[in-house]
Amino acid sequence: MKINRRQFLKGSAGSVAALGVMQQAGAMELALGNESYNYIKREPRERVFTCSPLHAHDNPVIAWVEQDPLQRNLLTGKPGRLVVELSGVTESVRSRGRVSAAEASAWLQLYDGDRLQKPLKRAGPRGSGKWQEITWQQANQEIAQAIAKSKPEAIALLHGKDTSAGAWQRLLHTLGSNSFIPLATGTNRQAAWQAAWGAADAIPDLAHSHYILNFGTNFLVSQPDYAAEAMDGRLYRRAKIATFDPRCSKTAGLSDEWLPLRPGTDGLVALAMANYLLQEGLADKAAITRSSNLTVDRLAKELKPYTLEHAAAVSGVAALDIRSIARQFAESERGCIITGSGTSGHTNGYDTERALMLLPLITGGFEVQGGTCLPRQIALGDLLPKPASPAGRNPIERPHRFPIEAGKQYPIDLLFGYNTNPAFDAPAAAAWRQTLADESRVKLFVAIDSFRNETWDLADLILPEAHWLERNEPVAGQGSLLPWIGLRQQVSPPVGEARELRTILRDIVQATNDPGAAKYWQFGDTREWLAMQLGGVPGLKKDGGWELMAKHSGVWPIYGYLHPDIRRIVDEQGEEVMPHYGKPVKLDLDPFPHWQAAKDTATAGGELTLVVHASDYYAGDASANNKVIREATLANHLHINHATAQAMGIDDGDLVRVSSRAGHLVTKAHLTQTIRPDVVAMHNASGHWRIGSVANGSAGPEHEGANDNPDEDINHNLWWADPGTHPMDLIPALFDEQGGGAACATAVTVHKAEPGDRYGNLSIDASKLLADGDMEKSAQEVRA
Amino acid sequence: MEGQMIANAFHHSYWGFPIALYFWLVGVSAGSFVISSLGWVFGVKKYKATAFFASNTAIIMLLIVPVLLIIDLGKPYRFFHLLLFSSFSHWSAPMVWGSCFIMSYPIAMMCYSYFVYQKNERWARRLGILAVVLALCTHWYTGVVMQLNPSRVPNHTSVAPILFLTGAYVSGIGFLICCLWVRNKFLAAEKQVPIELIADMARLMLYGIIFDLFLLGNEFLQMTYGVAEEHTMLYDVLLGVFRWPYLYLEIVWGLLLPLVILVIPKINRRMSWVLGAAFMCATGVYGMRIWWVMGTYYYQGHY
Amino acid sequence: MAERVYGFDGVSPSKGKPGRKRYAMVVDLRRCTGCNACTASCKTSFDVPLGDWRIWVAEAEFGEFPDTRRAVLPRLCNQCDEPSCVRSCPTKSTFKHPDGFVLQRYNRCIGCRTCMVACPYNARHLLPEYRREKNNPRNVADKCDFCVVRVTRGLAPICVASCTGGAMVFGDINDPKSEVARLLRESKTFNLRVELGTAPQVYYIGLTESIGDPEFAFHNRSAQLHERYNSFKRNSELGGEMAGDIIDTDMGFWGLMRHIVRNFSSFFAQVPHKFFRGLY
Ligand SMILES: Nc1nc2c(c(=O)[nH]1)N[C@H]1C(S)=C(S)[C@@H](COP(=O)(O)OP(=O)(O)OC[C@H]3O[C@@H](n4cnc5c(=O)[nH]c(N)nc54)[C@H](O)[C@@H]3O)O[C@H]1N2
Ligand SMILES: Nc1nc2c(c(=O)[nH]1)N[C@H]1C(S)=C(S)[C@@H](COP(=O)(O)OP(=O)(O)OC[C@H]3O[C@@H](n4cnc5c(=O)[nH]c(N)nc54)[C@H](O)[C@@H]3O)O[C@H]1N2
Ligand code: SF4
Ligand code: SF4
Ligand code: SF4
Ligand code: SF4
Ligand SMILES: [Mo]
Repeated sequence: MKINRRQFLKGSAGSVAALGVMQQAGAMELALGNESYNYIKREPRERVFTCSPLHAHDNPVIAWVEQDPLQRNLLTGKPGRLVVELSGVTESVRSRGRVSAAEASAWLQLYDGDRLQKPLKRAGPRGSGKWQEITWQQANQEIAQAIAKSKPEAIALLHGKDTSAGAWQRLLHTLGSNSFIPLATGTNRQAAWQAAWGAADAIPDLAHSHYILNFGTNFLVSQPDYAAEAMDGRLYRRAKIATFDPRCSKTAGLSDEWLPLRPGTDGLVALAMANYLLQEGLADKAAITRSSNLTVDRLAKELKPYTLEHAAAVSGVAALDIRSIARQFAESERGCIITGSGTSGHTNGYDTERALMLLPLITGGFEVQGGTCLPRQIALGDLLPKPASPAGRNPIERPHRFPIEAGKQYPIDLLFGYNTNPAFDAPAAAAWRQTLADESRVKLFVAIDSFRNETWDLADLILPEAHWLERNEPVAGQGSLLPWIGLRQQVSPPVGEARELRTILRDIVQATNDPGAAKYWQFGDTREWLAMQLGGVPGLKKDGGWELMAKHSGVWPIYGYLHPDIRRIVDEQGEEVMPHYGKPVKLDLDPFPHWQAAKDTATAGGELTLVVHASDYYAGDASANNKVIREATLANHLHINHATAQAMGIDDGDLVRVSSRAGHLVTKAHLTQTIRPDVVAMHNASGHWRIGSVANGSAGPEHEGANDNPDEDINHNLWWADPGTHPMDLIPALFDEQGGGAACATAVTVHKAEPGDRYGNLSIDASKLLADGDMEKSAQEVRA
Repeated sequence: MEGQMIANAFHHSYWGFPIALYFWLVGVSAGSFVISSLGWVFGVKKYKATAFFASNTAIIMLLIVPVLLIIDLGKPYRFFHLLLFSSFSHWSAPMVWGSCFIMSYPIAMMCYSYFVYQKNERWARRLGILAVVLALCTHWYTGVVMQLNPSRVPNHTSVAPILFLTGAYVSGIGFLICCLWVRNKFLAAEKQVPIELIADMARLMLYGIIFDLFLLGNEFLQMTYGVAEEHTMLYDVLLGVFRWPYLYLEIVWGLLLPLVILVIPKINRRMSWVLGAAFMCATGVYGMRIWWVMGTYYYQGHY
Repeated sequence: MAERVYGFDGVSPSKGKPGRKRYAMVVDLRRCTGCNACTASCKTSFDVPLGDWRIWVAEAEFGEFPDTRRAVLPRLCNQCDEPSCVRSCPTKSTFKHPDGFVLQRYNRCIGCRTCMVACPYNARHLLPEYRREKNNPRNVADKCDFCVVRVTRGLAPICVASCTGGAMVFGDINDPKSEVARLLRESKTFNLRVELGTAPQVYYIGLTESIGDPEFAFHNRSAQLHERYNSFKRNSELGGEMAGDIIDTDMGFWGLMRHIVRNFSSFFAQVPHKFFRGLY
C-alpha cells in the first residue's frame, strides 16, 4: 500500500479518523487508545509518543503525562511533569494499541527509589560495595585519562541488546576500537540466520499462518508482539500451534500440541521431518532449488541417515508424533516456524537453527503468506561525519569466551558496560564475576545504567543514565512484516544528575581534548541527533517530516487504522493491510547442518538436565525492581516431574539440593506434570542481590526498619518474601563455537536437602565453571 | 493428579478476631438480658433479685460493642453519617437493621434498668419486653448478616440466627454466673445471690447447651452430606485449621464438658463446678464465633 | 443519576432499551496468553496497591505427563446484574449503574467490608492505609469499576486496550452490531458461579470449569502457591491490622493464640491512624 501525506495526517488524527472505518464495520464504539484523562480534573492528559526497548522488538507506546500540583515526583518530592500511564499506539503495526505487563508498569521505574542519580566512584577495593559520589567532570576526566593511556583496541564494550541506534558503535569507532562483547544466547540463532540468508532474524508470519511450529521458544511469554500475532492467527485462520519443548511452558500448555523432547535434540527432529517429507513426496522441490544452494539430490543424500525412528529414540518424541506434525505442517501449506533460546541455547544451537530452516525450505514456506520471512527494515540516516570502522583486532578473539579469555593477550584497558548484567544473567556467572573483579585483567571498568546491578558492583565508575522514558533515540522498527520506524523521545527530564547516553558519550569524547575525535560528536542536544538520523529517512519528509511523526503518531508510515473488532490494521475500505511477500531467498546451507549431540545437555546415569529459561512477565533485569512485575512473578522453584520426584522421595515444596559439577544450590521442588521426567527447570529472574530493594527482597516484610522507599506502597504493602535462587552459577561455560553463544543447560543431580541446607544457599567453585582441557579440545575441533 | 493451581490472587480476610469478639459480646449481652428479664417480664420471681445486675452487665457488654464495631471500620467517623442522614442508609442491608438495634437496644435496657431500680413494676415490664425483643433482634441480625452471603459456607443457612441466639443464651448465662460469683465476693452474705439460684440458672444454661448441640448436630449432618465446600469445612473443623476453635474450644470445652458437669447430680449444685461449667460455656462460644466468622472466607480466600 | 440501582433487583434499567448503553465483557480464553498485561495496566493506572487486585490472572496446569495442558483465567469484578455486594452495603456506597457498571463511591464508604463478605468472586478489597499516591482514597472498599471513567469518555477499559492476546472484548450489548453482542450471540459463553444467581456480566469463551471452581482452587494448590498464600497472610500490613488472616500452617492452640494477639494488637495500633489520619 502506498502511503501519502494525506493518509499520514489523517491517520494521526487517531480515533477520529478511525470512526469512519468503524461506521462501516459497525464496531465497538470505544477507542482502544489514543486518549487518556485525568479523571479528577476531567482534562485530557498530555500524550508523548515513544518506544519501549523492553522486549526483543521495540514497541511504540504512548506515555501519558500530567502536571498536577497535588502530585509529587516520588524521588524529588516536588510536583512537575509526571508520567502516570503507559499505553499502546493504535496506529502502530507493532503494538496495535497494546502493551505488555512490563511496559504498562515501566514508568514506575522513573520514580524508583533505587535509581542512580549521581556518578559513583568506588571507594574500597573492587566489589567491596563502597561508593562515593563524584561530579560528572571528575568522572569524565578519569575516563579521558584512561583513554589516553589505552591501546585503542583494548577499549571494549560489554553490552546486551543495543538500544543506542549506533551511538556506541560511533564511540568505539571514534576511539579506534572495534571490541564489542555481546551477551546473549540468542547469538547462535542470530549467527545462523545471518550466515544463511544475510539477516540475523527470521520473522514468522504468525497472524496469517495456518500452522505454527514452535521449537524452543516460550513466545507467548517472551515475545508479547508475536503472541498477539499468533492469537490472531489462531482465531482468524484457525492456526494450529505445535510446540516442541522439554517442559510444558505456558506457550506449550496453551498450544494445540505439546511435544516434550529432550533438550538439544531439535535439530535431529527437524532433519527427520525433512527426510520424511522429502521421501513422502510432500516436498516442494522447486522451492528447494529456488531458495537454497542445495539440490534435491544432495538434500536427499544428506538426509538419508535421519530416520523418524532414530529421531524418536534420541529425542524421546514418538516417531508417529514427529511424522504427523511433519505432515500437518506440510499439508497446511501456510506453515511457519518459530525458534528461540531453547534451540539456540545449546552447544549445537547454530546447527539446530540451520537444520530447522529445512522445514520451511522444503515446504516452500519462505516468503509466502503465513510463512517464515526475511526481516523488513527501514534504514535510518546517520549523523555526519561518520568515523571509519577501525581495523584493530579485538583483544578477545572469541568475545563470547570473555570470562576465560579477557586479559589473556593483554589487559583490557577500559571496559564500558551497558545494558547487560552478565554477573547475574550469563551462564557461568560466577566466572564472569571473578574475571571482572580482577584488576590485572580489566583495568578500568565503567558502567552506564539507571540502576546498579550485580555486574556494576564490580565496576570502578557507575554513570547514571536517563531512563528510556527520558531519552531521545531513533528506532529502526523490527519484528513486523510491515516495516516501520519510530522514536524514543524524552517524556520527562532526567532525574537528579542522570544524563542521556549520547550526552554522556559526547562529554567523554570532549574530555579527551582530541579534536579529531570531537568532530564526530558535534551536536547540541540529543534531539538534534534525532533530527539527523530520522531526517535522513527517504519518504518521511514528504509525509510531513519526523517532527510531525513525533507529535502525531510516533511511528511511520501509517498503514491504516486499528479495526477495533478484529484489532488489526485496516485500510479505508476496512480491509486488512497485508504485507508484501516474495523477497528473494537464497539459503546458504553449506556445510550441511548435520546433527551432533549437544554437550551441555549430556547426562550420565542418575543425572537430569537443568534448563534455565526466561520468566513470565519479566522483561530482563530492567523489570527486576518493578513491584508490579515482581508481585506476579513466582520465585524460581525447581520444576521437576512428579514421578521423578516421587521416586526420589521428594514432595511438593520440599527443600532440594541441585548440584552441577561446579557446585550446588538449595531451592524448593515444584512437582509438576508439565516437564519431562529427565529434565528439571528454573527460570533465571530470581535470586538477585543487587538492583534494588524490590529485586533483592530487602524491601520485603522481613526487613522492617530498612524501609525507606519513597513509594509507601512498597514500604507497607509489599507482602511476598521468597526472593528465589540464582541458578546461573550452576551452568558451566560451554559454547557453540560456530555461533558464539553460551549454552544454557547443564547436567545436575537433584536430591533432598541435607541437614543444615537453607533455602537460597549457593555454593560454587568458579574455577570449575570454566571449560576443562577436554572441552577446550572438542571446542577447537568444532572450529577446525 | 488432575491438576493444580499455580497462580492466583489473594485477598485479605475481611473480618477478624475483633469482629468475632463483637459477635460474642452481643451474644453475652443478649443472654444476660434474657435472665434479667425473667423476673420482671416473665414473672419468675426468684430472678428479680439478679435482674438489675444482669441488665447492667448486659448494658456494659453492649457499650463496648459499638466502640469495637466503629473502630473496626475503615472510616470510623463516617459511621455517624449513617445515624445522621437517613438517606445514607440502605435498607436492604442487614447491617442497617443492626445499627438500629444496636443503638436502640442499650437505650431500652437503660430505661429498663432504671425502672427496675425504681421498682416500677409496670414500666419495667413494658420496657423489659421491648428490650428482650431488641436483644433477640440484635443478636438475630448478626446471624442474618452472615446468613445472607450466598457463597459463604458455613454461614449460608437459615439456622444461622438460631445458632447465634442459642450461643448467645448459653454464653450470656455463663458469663452472668461468673459475674455473679465475682459480685458475691464483694457483698455481705445476705446480699449474695444464693447458690440455689445460680444452680437454677445453670439448669437453664443446660437446656441451652442441649439445644445448641442439637443444632450443631444438624449442621454437622449437613456438612457430612453436604456439597463440596461444606465437606471441606467439615474436614477443617474436625482435623484442620479450625480444629481448635471448633472442636476443642466450642464443642468439647464450651458444650460437652459443661454438659457432663451439669447433668451429674450433686456436682451440678456445687458452686465451684457450676462456676467452671459457666466459665467454659462463656468462653467456648467465642470459639464458635471465631470459626463461624473466619471459616466463611477461608476457602474463598483461595479463589 | 436518579437511576442508580440498589438492593435486590439490580438488573440494570438500560438492558435491552434501544438507545441506551449496556456494557458487558467477553473474555475469549482461546486468545488469552496469561500475559498479565491486563493486571499490570490496571494496577498502574489506578494505583492498585500491592496485595490488592482489580483484575488478576489465575493459572493452572492439568493432566498427566505427557498429556498436559495449562489454563489461564483473568478474573475481575463481574459487574453482576444481581450484585450481592450491593444489596448488603449499608451505605449505598456501592450501587449498580443503569448502564451496567457496579460502582463504588469512596466518599460514602465506611469501610465495613460487608460487601467483600457478600461478593462470591473475591472481587473486592479494602484499600490500605498507605498508597503510592498520597491523595488517593484509603481504608475504603474498592474493586474493578469497568473503567467507568474511561468508558464514559469513549475509551475502552485499559485492560481491554492493553490485552496482548486481544482476548478481552468490551462493549455495548444493546447494540446488536457490537463485537460483544456478536460474541454472546454466536459463541457458547460461560459465567463464573452461575448457580449463585448473581447474573455476572463478564462472560468467558472456552472456560475450563475446574479453574473457575473455588473448590478446585482451594484443594489443588501447588505447594508454592500455598506458601505464597501464607506469606501474604503473614506479611501484609493491612491483613494484620484489620483482618483475621489465617495462616493455615499455624493454627494449633498456640497458633490460634498468636493469631488472636497479633490481630488484636495491630487492630488497636491502627486505631489512632484511622481517627487522626486520612479522616476523609
Ligand atoms: N518474559 C520475558 N521475556 C523475554 C525475556 C525475559 O527475560 N523475560 N528475555 C528476552 C530475550 S533477551 C530473549 S533472547 C527472548 C528469549 O525468549 P525465548 O526464546 O522464548 O526463551 P526462553 O523463554 O528462555 O524459553 C526457551 C524455552 O525453550 C525450552 N528449551 C530449553 N532447551 C530446549 C531444547 O533443547 N529444545 C527445545 N525445543 N526447547 C528447549 C525451555 O524449556 C523454554 O521453555 O525473550 C525475550 N523476552
Ligand atoms: N539460563 C539462561 N541464561 C540466560 C538466558 C536464558 O535463556 N537462560 N538468556 C540469555 C539471553 S538470550 C540474554 S539476552 C541475556 C540477557 O541478560 P542481560 O544482557 O544481562 O540483559 P538484562 O537482563 O536485560 O539486563 C540488562 C541490564 O541493563 C540495564 N538496563 C536496562 N535498560 C537499560 C537502559 O536503557 N540503559 C542502560 N544503560 N541500562 C539498561 C538493566 O538495569 C540491567 O541491569 O541473558 C542470557 N542468559
Ligand atoms: S463480582 Fe462481586 S463485587 Fe462485582 S458486582 Fe458481583 S458481587 Fe459485586
Ligand atoms: S465497605 Fe463500603 S462499600 Fe463495602 S459494604 Fe461497607 S460501606 Fe459499603
Ligand atoms: S475494567 Fe478497568 S478497573 Fe476493571 S480490571 Fe479492567 S482496567 Fe481494571
Ligand atoms: S492481557 Fe489479555 S491475553 Fe494477557 S492475560 Fe490479560 S486477558 Fe489474557
Ligand atoms: Mo536474548
